[in-house]
Parts: sequence; C-alpha cells; structure tokens
Amino acid sequence: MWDTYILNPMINALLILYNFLGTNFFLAIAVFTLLIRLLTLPLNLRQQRSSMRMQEMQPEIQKIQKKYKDNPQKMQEEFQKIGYNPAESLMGCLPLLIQFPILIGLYRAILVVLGSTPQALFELTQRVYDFVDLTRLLPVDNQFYWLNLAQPDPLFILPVVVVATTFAQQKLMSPRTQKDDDKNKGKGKKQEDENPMAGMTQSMQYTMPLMFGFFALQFPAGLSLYFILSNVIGVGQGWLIRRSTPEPGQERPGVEAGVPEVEAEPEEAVTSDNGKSTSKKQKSRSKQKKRRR
Amino acid sequence: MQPVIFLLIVTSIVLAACGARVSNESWPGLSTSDETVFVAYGPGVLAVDIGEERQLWQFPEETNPGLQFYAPPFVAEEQIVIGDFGASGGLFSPGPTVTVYALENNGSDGSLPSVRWSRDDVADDRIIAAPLQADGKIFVGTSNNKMLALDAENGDLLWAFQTGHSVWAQASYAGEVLFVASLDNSVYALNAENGELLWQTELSGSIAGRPVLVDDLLYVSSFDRAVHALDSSSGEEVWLAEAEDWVWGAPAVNEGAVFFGDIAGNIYAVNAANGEEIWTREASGAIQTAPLYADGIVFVVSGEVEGEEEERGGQVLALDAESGERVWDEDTPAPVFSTPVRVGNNVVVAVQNQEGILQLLVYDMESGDQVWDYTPPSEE
Repeated sequence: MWDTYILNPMINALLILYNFLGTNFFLAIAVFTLLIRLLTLPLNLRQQRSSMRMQEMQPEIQKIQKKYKDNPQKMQEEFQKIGYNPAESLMGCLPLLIQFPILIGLYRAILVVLGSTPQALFELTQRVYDFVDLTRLLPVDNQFYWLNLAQPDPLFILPVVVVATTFAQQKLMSPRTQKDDDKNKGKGKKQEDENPMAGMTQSMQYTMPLMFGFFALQFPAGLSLYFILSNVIGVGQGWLIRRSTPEPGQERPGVEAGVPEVEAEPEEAVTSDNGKSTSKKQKSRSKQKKRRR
Repeated sequence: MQPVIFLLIVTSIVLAACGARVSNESWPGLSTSDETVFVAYGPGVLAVDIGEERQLWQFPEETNPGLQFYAPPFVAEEQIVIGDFGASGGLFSPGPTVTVYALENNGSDGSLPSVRWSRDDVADDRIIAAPLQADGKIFVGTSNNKMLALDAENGDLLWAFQTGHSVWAQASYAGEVLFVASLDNSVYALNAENGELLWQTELSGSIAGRPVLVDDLLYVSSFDRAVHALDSSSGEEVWLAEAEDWVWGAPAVNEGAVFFGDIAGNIYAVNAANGEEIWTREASGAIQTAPLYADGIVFVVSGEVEGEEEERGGQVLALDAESGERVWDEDTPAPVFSTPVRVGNNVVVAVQNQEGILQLLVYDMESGDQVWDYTPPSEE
C-alpha cells in the first residue's frame, strides 16, 4: 500500500521529471517540490485562514469556556452560536500531517532513484513503471555543484539554509499576534509566563528549524533541497497571506467606520488556551461584531 | 496539539531513517583461496575453511555498527586486500570514512591476520567493487567515480583515474593494461603504470559487472540488455549478444562459450568468437551475478523478486555447459545475489535475509546435495 500509492509514484514522478528537465536531478526535485506545494496549497490556505479566524474568536471562546466550564452541552451551543467548531482547529493540522508521508516517501525515493548501492539500484528496477525507460536514464546524475545529492552536504551550507528558511517560514505561517507588533518585550514575556502553551508555540519556532537542520546534517542533500525550496515557497505564501490580512488592532475590511474603539485603555495582552495572544482591543472588536449580529 | 505534531514528525522521520539503516546496503561478496572462503557481508569479513567446516577468523574482531563491508576481498599470495563500505563519520562529518586494508595472508592457520597496512586517506567514497592486486599495485574502484592505483607495499596512492560515474566492478588486468567498467556506460583501457587513458568505448547502458578478458577479446555485460565483445587493443566492438533484460553480472567465458544471465531470469550461452546463440534457459528468479563455470557445469544463482519481501527465496541451478540441460537445482531460503565460488568439489553460495542474517550454503557440485551450511555465531 505504502509502496504502491506513495513511494512508487514519487520515484516515477522524479524519473519522469528528470527525463524532461535535461537529466538534471536538482531541477527534478525543484519541480517536484513545486508540484507538491501546489497540490497542498488549498489545504495550507484553508489552515492559515482558519487559524486567523480562530485567533479573532479567541476572546469569545475563552469567555464561553470560562462561563460554561461545568456545562459542556451549553458550551457547545454557545460555540455554535458564534460559529466556532472545535473540530476545525484539528483540521488545521492536516497540512502538517500530510507532510509526514511526503517527507518519508521522498527520503526513500531519492535514495532509490540515485541508486547509490547495488541493492538500491536493483530495488529501483522493481519499482519503475513500464513506460519509463530506465536503461536510457541511468545512471542518474547525482552531482549538483559541490553536492552529491545522495549524501549530506559536506560543507554544511544546506543545513544552515534549512534552519534559516524553516525559521522564516515558521515565523510567517504562524498567526500574527499582538506580541509581534508589541515593542515592549516585557509584555511578551509576561504572556509566556501566564500561559505555558504560548511559550510552547514560541519555542516551536526555534525547535522546528533546529530539528530540520539536524535532519539536513544526516539526510541526503536532495532532501535538504526539498526542505529549502518548500520553505521558500512557504515564506512567499505566508507573506502574501499576511499582506492580505489586517494587523491586530486594525479593522477588517467591511467593518463600519466610526464604531467606537477602546483606544484610550492601555493595551494589556491576554492569552488564549491555544497559546495565541490577543489584546483588549481585539476583545472589544469581537464584542462589537457580536452586537452587530 | 502542536507538541503532539512535533513528536509525530520526530518519531516518523527518525524511524524512517533508522529503518533504512537496519536493512542491508548491499549483498555479500565472496572470494576464495584454496579451501578458504572469504565473505564480506556487512559488519565484517569472515574467513571460513570449507574443508574443515569451521570459521577461521572475522575482521575486524570487534564489529563496529557504523562500519560495513561488501566488496569481495582480493586474496594475493602474501596479503588479503579489503576495501570497506565506509564508516559513518559522525554528526559533523557527513561523508563516510573509507579504508583499504592489507591483511597478512596466514593461509588457513586459523589466527586473525595482522594488518600489514590500512589507509583511510586514499578512497573518499564507498568501495563496492572487489579490489585487484597485480604487478605490485592494488586497483580499487570507488563510488565517487574513481579508479585508484595504490602501492601494494604500503597503500600509497600512485594515481587516480576519474570516470563519469561510480565504479562497482572489479577491474581486469593484462599486459600492463587495466580495463575498467563504470556505471557511466563506458569501458576504459588504462595504462596501469600511470593511469593514462588508452581507449574508451561507450555502450548504451551502465556496466556493473567485471570486464572479462580472454584471447584478446574483452567481454562486457551491460544494462543495455546485451553482452559486448570488444577488441582489447582498440575497444572496437566485435560482436554483441542480446538479452531480454539488463545483464548485471559479468559473463563467464570457458571452452569457446560465453555464459551470462539477465535480471529477467534468462540464462544464455553464446559462441565466444561470434556471439551466436548456443542455448537459452530460464532460472526461477532474477539473475544479478556472474555464472560460475566448473568442470563442464555452469552454476547460476538467482533471487525471486515477486511476493512479500521476507518470503522471497532463491535458487542454485546447475546446467550442463554444452547442452544447457539441467543437472540439478536447489532452492535457497533467501534470494542469492552473490556470485558463487568453487571450493574443491563444492560450490559455495552466500545468502543474506532481510534481517541481515548471513548463511553460507555448500553444495556438492555433481549431485547438488547440501553438504554443509554455516551461519556465523553472532548471527544466530
């Protein structure tokens, strides 16, 4: 099942791309990455929009959770009223979950396609579809500048780039919080102290890049190239979404002008259960929306 | 939720990586001298006396989990030359550390031979091809596209020749000319003294089997579904004999015939002078190794490629060299992807299952009766 639906299609896709892209395996990996990102784009967009929406609703969700903590049924009803579905936050994890088989499959596919051992090459012959002329494509060129794509980067350049791009992507893909715009770092620290989950979210932004950097040290350079290209696309995607999303403290397009804001109050960050911070300003905006309903 | 995802990612990828390391990287490699069989099979090289049915030694004595051996050792009169598959260099040394060793040849006295010299500064990528010692030099092919010539006395690098891709096949040597086959589709004839290129012939498929030189003809098997006979002085093609699929293993040449098998499981005998077909037979699985010719019998080993991986077996098939008639055949518990060797009146094959457990199977050449099988103590 794994071989038939994940590994073999990946191997054959890489070989077909390799054939059409001038027998350049780097280009084959690049186009393969682009295709994967395109295929998962709707899911990624949905996840990001969903998390932005969740962020906006956090003050109300928190209030409901606090108010009806002993009455789950009523809590659900109230959630429904504001249009919040807890299952939706789980769906947000789907793009990440989809990454697992892709990463593991690609890791194996690169090793098999590059056939760096007799056994790997023999395995390749058993996995190639009839219409792929393997005899003509072999040997797959594993060199790209200083890299052997089947081996880790000996100069450690790729691991560094993987860390940097993963960090940039993590930063851009995570929902914007008031803390991002808060010049007062003391407030951010206070947030983390008040809510360990917020601290976890913050630490993920650092641990994930380090983790992928560690993989890049161990895994074939071809897989590191996939990480980097995928991250670069993710950064572009995150930047575009950010551009089209109002910053915390700004009105969303369509909200009537002239509605009084609680500007005079000093901002005091509060944190939600899922670690995303918001502000009284946002709380106020949520209340206004509720009133309009 | 996010910590769970984090843990899942770590677990999945680490498991995948570890899983890939547990499986074999290659097949065991066999060579022989008198009654002793030398087998490189992953964690080390074993010397087993087939006549006395006992293991003589294992090198290295203490196995290193990060170090692997697959290239068949070369046994010269005074030393045994081994090239390893490389040891992991650690977290901050991504490339493998590859070593060439020369061990004292103690014959079959049973003691672990001392290391005459070892060099980890001459090969910078994995050694899959068997080394070759001739005229005071050791020739070693590497996975990073090189043929190296070392001084047999101390391992000093004499010259290195760059090919277009990996060298997985042992070189052939005759009259100060070295014949090298590479996965880059080419056969190279080099001046063995200085590594200078004499001629190069490009075929239309990769070459993973040793070129075999007999009577001025160089017989080369290729993934282009053929065996080619080249003029050894010019590299020009004299004839080619077609197969149904890739011819991976080297051909065996004897008594005016060339024997070879393809990965579709066909066995061919063709006329050595003109490539005309003599007979064709079928094995039960893919043939990836060179056949063994001995006393008028051709021994062919094969491995099943269909069905569940852990349930796949193999076969040893003995055919009459002249007629192609079956003499005997025996099933093996795992696919056989290592060229068999002859020891006395026996034929020895090595199998290694999915878990990496090695087994040596010894058959009587004439009857096919299994006379002994051996699994190293650490593998049981």
